[in-house]
Amino acid sequence: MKKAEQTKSELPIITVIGEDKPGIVAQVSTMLWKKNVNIEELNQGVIKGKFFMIMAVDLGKSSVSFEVLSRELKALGQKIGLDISLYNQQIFTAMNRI
Amino acid sequence: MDGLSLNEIYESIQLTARDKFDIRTVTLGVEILSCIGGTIKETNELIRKRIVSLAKDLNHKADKVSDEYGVPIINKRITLTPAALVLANLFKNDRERDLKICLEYARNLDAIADELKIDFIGGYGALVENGVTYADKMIIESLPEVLSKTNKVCAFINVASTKAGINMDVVARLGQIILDTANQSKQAIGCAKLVVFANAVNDNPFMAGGFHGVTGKDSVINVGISGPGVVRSTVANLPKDLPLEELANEIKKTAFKITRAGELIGRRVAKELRVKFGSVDLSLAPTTQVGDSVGEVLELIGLETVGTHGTTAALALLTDAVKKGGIMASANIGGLSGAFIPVSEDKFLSDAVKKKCLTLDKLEALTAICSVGLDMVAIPGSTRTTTISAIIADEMAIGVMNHKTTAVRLIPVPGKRAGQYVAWGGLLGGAYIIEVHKEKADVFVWRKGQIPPPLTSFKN
Repeated sequence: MKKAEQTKSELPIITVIGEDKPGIVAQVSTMLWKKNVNIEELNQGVIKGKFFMIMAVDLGKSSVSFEVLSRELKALGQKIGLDISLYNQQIFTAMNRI
Repeated sequence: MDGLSLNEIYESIQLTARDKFDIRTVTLGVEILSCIGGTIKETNELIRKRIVSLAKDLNHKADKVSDEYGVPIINKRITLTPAALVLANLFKNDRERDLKICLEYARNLDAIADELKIDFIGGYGALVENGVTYADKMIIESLPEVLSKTNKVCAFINVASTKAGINMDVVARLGQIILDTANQSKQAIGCAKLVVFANAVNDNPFMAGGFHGVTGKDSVINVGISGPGVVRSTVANLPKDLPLEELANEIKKTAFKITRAGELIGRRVAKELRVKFGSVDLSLAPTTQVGDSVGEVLELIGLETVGTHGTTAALALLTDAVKKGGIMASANIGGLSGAFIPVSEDKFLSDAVKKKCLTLDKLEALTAICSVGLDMVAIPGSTRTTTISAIIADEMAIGVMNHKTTAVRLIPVPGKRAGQYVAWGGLLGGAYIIEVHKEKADVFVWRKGQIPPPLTSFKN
């Protein structure tokens, strides 16, 4: 995926699952801000009693690669007790759209 | 986010996290007729170079794609052109010498699999439904030694087709070959690497029966998805009194999703490796893990124990719904595409054998409407070779008469009687030895010859 060609429907998606507690959005967004990763869209809610957040992010202006960001998000998740992952959005589109 | 809702994304993630959805195998098919040299040594080296050049990044690229899409890819495998075609030109009508060539060839494949860190390499086999060439014969005769002296080489023999009928000469011999293989390998494990087919397909990504058909491309990526856990979750979350057509619809939706994921991932791995994408095999492939069983899905549909009356009908509904959902999802459906019922690899099936609810006869009935056949079925080590041949013949007849692929992977375990347990571990799991009929089929099997093709094959 070439960074410059990404449209909104091709942006990687960060998912965060876990117990709801204060400061989750802040901690994730601070990390992204430090790496110059832009949050294009954000949605959050409670599903089956768990906090669930999704963010579409643009890595176009960031020096960090998909693989590195994925690893660092997982590490942050472990640190703050949440499951944080980075996905190629295509997987969700393929599974949910005809 | 393309209008994707929180719930859609959450449920998609749960398919892997909760329901054990994974890509069971990404299989690289490689044509190797172009590697035939003047000697076996030269041929082996050319084959090694060709496979390594295509597959050196198979593991790495598959892992990368797996991470990016969040769906595990469990196995990476390689299928090759049938060995009988590759080796024919190297044989010199000297049995001892030619059997050595077979072993040398297989050991080279084993070493390549080790070098590339893949678990199985398939294609050691022959297509003999119309008759046997000298090369086919050598491949068949070499099976006990090859399967017991190599670890990762998988073999197949296609003995029947709807167009040709059943080659009973080979079926009769295979009874002996399978027993020899069992006796020569530890706990008969060599037999787990041999599949006997009717109507074998060219693009089967699953082992042990996969091979790269001669009608295909130079190299190709085929994908086998796995989804009993996902279907189990779908069925478990629906009301017990939901009418069957509605249950079938829900299974279709699930099959659609996992097929879409399978195709996306297969295409991406193919692109990364710069080879063509072939097909997605829809087969529900169980594993020994808890919650990943086809048998459990059948019990959730409403059977007390899989194998009881109603199992064939429930499996028909399941297989058909999976196919319909998958075919809607992708234009590239291939391979076997149905539901696997490998007894040793599926805890519920294995337990049902222990309870004597699932018998060999019922398994045979199930194979009339699922995708493979008598798969990973452990039988007593004292089973007559003619009985093994007769079991194969029955299964081939189902495939031939119904225009479908059927297969047999029987494991006669030396020293074990019906009801005893054998553990192989790993992917192969373990199984209770299933009872076979004591009454003989010797005269039938030793008639040999060809069972003619059915009337329905004359459509031209």
